This record gives sequence, structure tokens and C-alpha cells, in this order.
Amino acid sequence: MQKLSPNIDDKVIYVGLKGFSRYSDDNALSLDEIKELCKSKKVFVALNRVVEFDKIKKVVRELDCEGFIINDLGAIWKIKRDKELDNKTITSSVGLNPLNYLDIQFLEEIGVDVVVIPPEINDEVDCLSKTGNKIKIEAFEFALVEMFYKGKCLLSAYFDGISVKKSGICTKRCCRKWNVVMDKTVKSKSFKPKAIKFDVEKADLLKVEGRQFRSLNLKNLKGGNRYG
Amino acid sequence: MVELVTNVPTLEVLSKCSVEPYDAIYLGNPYCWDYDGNLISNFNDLEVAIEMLKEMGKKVYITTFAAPRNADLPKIFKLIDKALELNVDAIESTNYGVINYIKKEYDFRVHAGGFTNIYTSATVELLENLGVERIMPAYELPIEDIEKFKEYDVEIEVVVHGKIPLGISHNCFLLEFKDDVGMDCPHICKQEIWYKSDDLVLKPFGNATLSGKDLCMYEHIEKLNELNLDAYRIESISERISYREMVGKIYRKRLEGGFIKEDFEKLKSLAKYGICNGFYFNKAGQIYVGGLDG
Repeated sequence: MQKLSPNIDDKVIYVGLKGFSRYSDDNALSLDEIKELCKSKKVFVALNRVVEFDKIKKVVRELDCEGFIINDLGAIWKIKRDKELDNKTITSSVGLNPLNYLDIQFLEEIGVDVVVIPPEINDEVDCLSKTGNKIKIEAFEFALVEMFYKGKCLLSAYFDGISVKKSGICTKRCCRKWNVVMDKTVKSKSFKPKAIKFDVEKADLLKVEGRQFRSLNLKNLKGGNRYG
Repeated sequence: MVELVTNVPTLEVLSKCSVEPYDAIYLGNPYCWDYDGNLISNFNDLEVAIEMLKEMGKKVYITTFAAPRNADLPKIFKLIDKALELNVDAIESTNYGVINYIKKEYDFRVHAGGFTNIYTSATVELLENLGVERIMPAYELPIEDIEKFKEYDVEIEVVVHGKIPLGISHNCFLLEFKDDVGMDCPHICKQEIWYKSDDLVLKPFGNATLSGKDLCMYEHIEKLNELNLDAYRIESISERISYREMVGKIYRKRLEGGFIKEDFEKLKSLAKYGICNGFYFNKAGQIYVGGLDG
């Protein structure tokens, strides 16, 4: 479970599975720990590193939990086509980077129940879903707005050989001091993520991004339905 | 024979260089609608460009904006209609919503580009099921992962040379520097601007940030040939006009002949900040692994 989770005592909690969730495994739980939690709580499990479907399928079969957060279109599609697995609530990770209503429509068609949208499109929430759509939209109430859209950054992989998508770790190369060079240096700049609190009234669920913080004051945030 | 493809952003570029080495051309710059002369925004130019390429016997593919928000969709719909009217051979998109829309509404040939999040066999199977004809696997996949996708009935295209996109942002960073550079949109992105931090280099270009180094598989082309892929792309969207002709000729010779040391040296000389292999060998993308040339 995320150690900083404000929902730790709630009936519904969100946890990462070691080896499968983004960012550090330090805050993730083992399969057995999650199974134990599932006996008393509604548990959603983040499997938001990109791995081949056979590995995802094994975990989804084994865990009797409420749902999963998944970062691979194909894995979501296959889970929802499998009669043994299709009762799980599936949240598509922000790493899938939906940007418009056609994306949301497509995610619903392949079986996504809840879609996490990038914070950059928070002000478009009410134009993302058509009336009658069952898919729920989850928006960041608090997020790090990064150099690139979440799910569209290969800097860690390019410079350090560590894939955010596959290894779940970001080496934060964007935070370096970069010289903007034409014939000579014209400016220095860092693309450090900006922590922004949003006012998102129309989303179905609110999410607080906290995985990259060591401490965070959540008192002023009304949502916190999810903390990831 | 594998198809050799490249991209051409404007009619001006197409008019000033030879695309003779290539079998097919992606028209348009997917990283900025406002790029001066961008063929995805200028339909008169697009019509002329398509006519020129067809006369040359080339296949014509139209690219679409890489990160479409709701406000971009009407422009994309118009572009799709135009592309169909002009009888192009395929439309490229990296947006799964747009890909799904084209297949459902028109059942037209679609190429899913390198930022479509194609990492797993399950996703390739999904795209095959949608009827997508060609995919470009995620840039950060090694050769062995790409090989797994061969079991599906979709064509596979990979980048063999050029600067690959490393990130897509929701705005153009270059506009932040317009006062420092003394140039505004659409002229600023025609300048050679780089981000440098010690030995790390990136190239901002519209809503994309590209690798500073040129991915180069010239020495290793046999390794890719073993996979029996369908298309090799030379990424030249941000390059000076002569680049795509020179690099195209070198790779055409490479595919039909063999390794020529002088050609390899030429490729290295064209890469201001050096060459790399991207992610094909399971290493950091900026690393270059030596091959035939030692």
C-alpha cells in the first residue's frame, strides 16, 4: 500500500504490487500481503508497468481484488475478453495518455471502466465523454505537470537505459540544468515538474499524485479518492 | 525487398531534394500544425506534393498531428477527408482514438506510429484485430521484443536512421525562448536549436523533443534484415533539406549492396552530436554499439 495514503484506514485502498507498479518497489506490497488485505478491504492493484499479458493474467487470476490499474491497451482488451477475468474493474493508467474524446471512446470500447486523464486536459473533462457513456473519468486534483505528457517520455530510457514504462523508474533527467544553444548558449533552463493543484469539478473521481513525494500536505485537498 | 521510407514536412522541402532513393514518403510534420508550410495544414501544397510523388511512382502516406486534443480533431477529420479524396496510400497516426476512428468510419489503411504505446504482443493483437495494417513498435523496444510481433498479420516499420522523438509535450518549448533567440513562430523552429547538459543533447522541435544523436543502424542492418521487417524509416523531419537525400542514397546502397566504409563515415559526419543505436540492443538509447567497422 502507498505508505502516504490518506485512505489507509478506508474500506477501499489502492496498492502497488512489487515488480508491477510504477516508481519504487519500496512502497509496493507482495502478492501475499495484497491477498491478506483483500480479506478486509476493497483493494485496487496498480499493475502499471508494461509487461507481457501472460504475467498480468497470472496476477489478475490470483488476486481476488476489486480491480486493477493497467498501462497496456492489449492487456486491458484481453482481460475484458476473458470470461474468468472480466468482472474486475479496470482503470487505464495515465501512461496510456488519452487526450481526446475519441481516445476515451476507444478505451471504453476495449473494456476500460475508469480512465485516468493527464492533468494537461483537466479543463476539458466535460467534453471528453459523451452522454450515455459508462466509462468514468478520473482526474488529478493534484499532480506533477512534467516536461512531457505522462506516458510520452523516453528520457530515462535514452540517457540511462531505464524505461519508465517497463521498469517503473524515472531518472528525472528533465530536472537537470539544460543550456539552450543556438550558435551560443542563449538561456539555461530546467524542466523540473511543476506541482499543481487543480479545481476539477466535473470528473467522476479525483486522484492525488503523491508517489514522487516524500511528504505532502493533503489537508487542503477535498478529493483523495485515490492516491497514487 | 523492405520498403525504405522517410518524411517530408513541406512542399518546399520536397521540391528542393531528391526522394529518389525512397519507396514511400510520409507527408507532413506531426509535431506542429503551424510549422511553416506544413503539408498537413496546407491542402493546396499537399495536393501538389501528392501529384509529384505519384508521378515519381512513390507511395504516399499522410501523417497526422501526434498529440491531438479535442480542439485538434476537426482539423484531423478534414485532413483525413482530404487524404482520401487525394487517394493516398495510408494515413499515419500515433493516437489510438484517431486510429480506431479511421478504421471504423472509413476502413482505410492505417499505420500506427512510434508513440502509439505498442509495447506488447497483446497490443499488437488488438491492433491486428482492429484491422491496422502497419505498426511501428514503441521506440524503446529491443530487437528481440520486435521479433515477437512478427507472428501477427501486421506490417512492421522501424527507424533505421535519424533523430527519434523522446517526448511529446502539450506545448512548444521553443516559444519560451523566442525573445532570447529574437525569432517567433513559425521561423524559430527552422533554426538549429539544442538543449545541452554536459554531454547530453536533445533537439526541441515543435511539440516533440528529439534525440540529439542520430540513431544509426547502418552497421547493423543485417540484424534487422533477419527479422524480415516490412519498412525501414529514415527520420528526417527536422533535418536540413539535403540530409534525407544523402542518407537515403547511402541506405539504398546498403540494402542493395553491402557495407561501405566511406558511406558510414559520411553518416557520422552528418550527425552533429554523434550516432547511437536507439534501443535495439537493450541499452540506453544514446549508446552506440560498434559493428562491422570495429
